[in-house]
Amino acid sequence: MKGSWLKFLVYLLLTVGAVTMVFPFFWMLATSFKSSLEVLSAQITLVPRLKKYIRQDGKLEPVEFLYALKLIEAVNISEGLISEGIPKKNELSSRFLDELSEIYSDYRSRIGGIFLRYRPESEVGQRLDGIWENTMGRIDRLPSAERLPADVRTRVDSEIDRLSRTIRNLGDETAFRENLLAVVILAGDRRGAGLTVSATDIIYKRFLWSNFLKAWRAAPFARYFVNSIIMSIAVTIGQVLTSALAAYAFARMQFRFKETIFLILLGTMMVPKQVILIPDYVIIAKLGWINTYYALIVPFVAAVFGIYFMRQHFETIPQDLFDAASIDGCGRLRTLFQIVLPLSRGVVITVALFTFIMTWNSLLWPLVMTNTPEMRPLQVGLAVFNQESGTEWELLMAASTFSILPLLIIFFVAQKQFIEGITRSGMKG
Amino acid sequence: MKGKDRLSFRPYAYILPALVVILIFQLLPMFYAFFLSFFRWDMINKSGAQFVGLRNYIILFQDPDFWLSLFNTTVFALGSIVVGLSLSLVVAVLLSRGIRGLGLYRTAYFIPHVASMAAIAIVWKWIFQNDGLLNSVIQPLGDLLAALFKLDIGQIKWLQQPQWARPAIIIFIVWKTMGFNILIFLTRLLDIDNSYYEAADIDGASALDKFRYITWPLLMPTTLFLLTISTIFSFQMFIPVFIMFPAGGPLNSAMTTVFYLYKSAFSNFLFGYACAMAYILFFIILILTLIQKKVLGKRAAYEI
Repeated sequence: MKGSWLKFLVYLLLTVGAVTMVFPFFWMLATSFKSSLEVLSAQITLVPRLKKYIRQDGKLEPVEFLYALKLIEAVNISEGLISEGIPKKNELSSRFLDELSEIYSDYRSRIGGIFLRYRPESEVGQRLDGIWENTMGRIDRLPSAERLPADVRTRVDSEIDRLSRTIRNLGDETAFRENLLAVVILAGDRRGAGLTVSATDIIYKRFLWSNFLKAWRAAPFARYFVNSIIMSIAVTIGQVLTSALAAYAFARMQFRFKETIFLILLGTMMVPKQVILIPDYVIIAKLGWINTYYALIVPFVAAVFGIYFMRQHFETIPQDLFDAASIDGCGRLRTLFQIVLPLSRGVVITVALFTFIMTWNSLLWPLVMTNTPEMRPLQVGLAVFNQESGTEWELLMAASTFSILPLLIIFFVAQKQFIEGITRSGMKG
Repeated sequence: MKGKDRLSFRPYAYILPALVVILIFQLLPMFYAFFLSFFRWDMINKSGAQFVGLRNYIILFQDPDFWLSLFNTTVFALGSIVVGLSLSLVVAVLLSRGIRGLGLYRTAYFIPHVASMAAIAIVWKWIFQNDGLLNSVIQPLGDLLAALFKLDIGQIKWLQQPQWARPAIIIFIVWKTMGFNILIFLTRLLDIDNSYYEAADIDGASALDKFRYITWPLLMPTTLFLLTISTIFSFQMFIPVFIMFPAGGPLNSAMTTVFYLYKSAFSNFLFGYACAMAYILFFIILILTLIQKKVLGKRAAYEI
């Protein structure tokens, strides 16, 4: 009895741990499919919510966007309200404010980049119920919209009227105007303002695949990918070749200073990459290689790790094979490529795999060595995108997803090789 | 055959390509960095570098930001090693006990290691947001603390409060590196001959005894290896900080030495200064590695 409880506990612990390890990936994927409205709402949704779209002129538009367009006029109409009375007390219910905090347009670029978030009182201090934080955009740049039906306008006006009295306390006219829009959108959304569409034009979607396309187009990701692929493949081929040649000499030939040279090479492994980053930058600048493929590739086409790893394996190949090859008139180089390498497939694949992944993942080096988008590899492009796109998490997660995917695929295809390689190099280390 | 090689240049031709590249881009720069550390140089100034002797090192030791970066790096190293390695050991030991679905578990724990650091750091930046995933997961815990001990921490701002920025980095590093540690521990654990444990069973040893007197000593070389790797990794950490705290974090609380080095060289153009920093970092890593080898290596040899 005690034993089975213990077993249950072990499985429980392991499963909780495993879920923790995998969950960020799930969260990344889930976020990639959400609308920006959903991403910014304070509520956590594990599965993307159903979102309402309306087909208009053959295009799908999120409902919030359409209402925004239709109601913008109302803002202008109501502008007169700004100058009116100073509020006595807060008249907005907290529920109303909560709803308001969810407001955010999916198409912020198209309606002028308005981005409103409600901040609760606790963060702001004693300012009434809170403030709406505006991070970008202005109302002036909004496109004009159709006029609203009279009854809707009345409702919107009364909503604005109520809000205006609260917001006036903030004493900032710009904030007032921008906050008005939030109310207007909300009023429209909640009351079904001004839109007459037939039921067949209303479409519900849960997964926004379009986020991937948007992210892909938000930065030159195609170019980043090409650069990463060129860099990784070139470095991998180069490193495998130079390592195989050198390891072959170290394992199978006698020459003066062999062990001394090898020891010096091993010594360079002790030096952290960061130490040589700056002098390498200077050297590469002197060579005129800054912002070229040379800077990304040439310094890495040889590595001590590969030589060390391959040498160990080449030494285990029986001498008889080499003797037989040489009797058959097989030259040194041919022996390497036709006998030694095919016999060392596992090791070669491991070295290639590690080199590829390390190059693919490198960030600091290409960050320093490149300075235009045309030359950036994926990791650098992603880091720049991260700094430029601020809070567009659905796009950032979509970009992260397609950046991580190639390596995950390689891992699942070559999992055995991968794990063997790590344990083998790890245990020897 | 061997005699022929000894006389010919052939072996040198084979090692030449690798040697040239390593010489130019790894060995030479090592000395060049040392050389540069005695100069003041911004690379833009045409008049060239200015010899300043030990000035860079002297300024470095008086630079509070440098000490802060060393402190941060040490905190990250200690935190991620203590938490990361012990958690990994626990998971590895549990996994080594004839668990069903071992492959599945191992893959799950290992996946973070495969993901690109930059991309996955962005994901964690999203998780660490004020109203992000992590805060909503630990919300009940906070409520419980508040209810039981009247301890109200309030909302944790992982990316904005200096006292939470460091734990955020440590959590991320532990999550990212655990899979690798587990894999190495597990491989060694599965290699341990079962007869040790059978003999211990006959002697009536408890599970704890078996761990203390068999598993732990036999794991010592592996632990040492992982300790060294983790130390080196922590002292070279750059990407997570660069992604999650592009400005070094609140009050520079997440600024690692490598991050400061990068800023000094490529934002402030203090190349000589950055080289001096790189060398100090190099020596710290070297000394730490040697100490670990000496202290733990001896014990490992003794206990087996």
